[in-house]
Amino acid sequence: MALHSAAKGKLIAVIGDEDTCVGFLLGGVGEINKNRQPNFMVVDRNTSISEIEECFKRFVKRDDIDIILINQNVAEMVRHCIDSHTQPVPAVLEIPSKDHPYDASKDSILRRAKGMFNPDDV
Amino acid sequence: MVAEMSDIKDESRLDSVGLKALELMQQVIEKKMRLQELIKAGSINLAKSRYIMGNRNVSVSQLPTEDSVPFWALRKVENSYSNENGIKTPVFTLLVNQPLKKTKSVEANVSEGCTEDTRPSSDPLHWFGVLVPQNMRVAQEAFKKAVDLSIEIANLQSHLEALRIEFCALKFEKMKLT
Repeated sequence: MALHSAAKGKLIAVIGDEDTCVGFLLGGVGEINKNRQPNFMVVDRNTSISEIEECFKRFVKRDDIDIILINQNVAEMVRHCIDSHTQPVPAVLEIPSKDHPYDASKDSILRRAKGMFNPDDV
Repeated sequence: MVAEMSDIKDESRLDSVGLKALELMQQVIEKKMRLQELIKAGSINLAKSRYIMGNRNVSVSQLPTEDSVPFWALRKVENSYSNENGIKTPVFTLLVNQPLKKTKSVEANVSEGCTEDTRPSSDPLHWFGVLVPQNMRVAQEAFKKAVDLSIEIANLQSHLEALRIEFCALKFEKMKLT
């Protein structure tokens, strides 16, 4: 019974640098499903933008993921993908990393909300 | 007279939605700053663990890969929908699964009844060894709090997005009238 109930719920996916992934996985969000698909992607300096894009789109398509956490500096690399995602689920959260502090002016959700008060941005 | 009354009602609704959206934006920024502090604190403790255990022992190489045995996440979210002024808004709630300790009965369960997709997860600390430094446990606590906070922020963001849609609809109505 306990084993069955533990499989309930949807996942939190992570796309970010090494420390962000190690940290959030340590926090217990990591999963490898029966198709051997992980719900995280470690981005380093050798990772190409197309790989990040592909991974983001894959996470958006997966119906077992409800929240995607992405480092803001990584989100900047695939801004067009993030801006074009307007569905409420999965929710995309731009999170800071240890090297890149949070910048509210770059956040997709906040920029969209700011457009409410600025007719030029709508 | 009636048209004027509904006009005033719409405008006051527009004002209240706008004000609420501004409050939510403020809350999102504040919570993300708090998230930044938690991530920084967690990263510092990961760095301290790296100093104690060695560079390679606290890195991506310790994380499970596609070749690893499938396992569940310990922290998941449950999704329900609230209907705010006709706009379907998702509400996320945290779902915590306790890591299963390997007792004889669990081992039997795993080998008998459970297929690969229902394998329970052990504490992620065990990926980094049996005797991990205290700093790593502190880092884990910081990141657990970061997960909880992320869910709160996700809820705020969904609410904000619903308000934005409502605001745009009200504004459109107002423009049609003028």
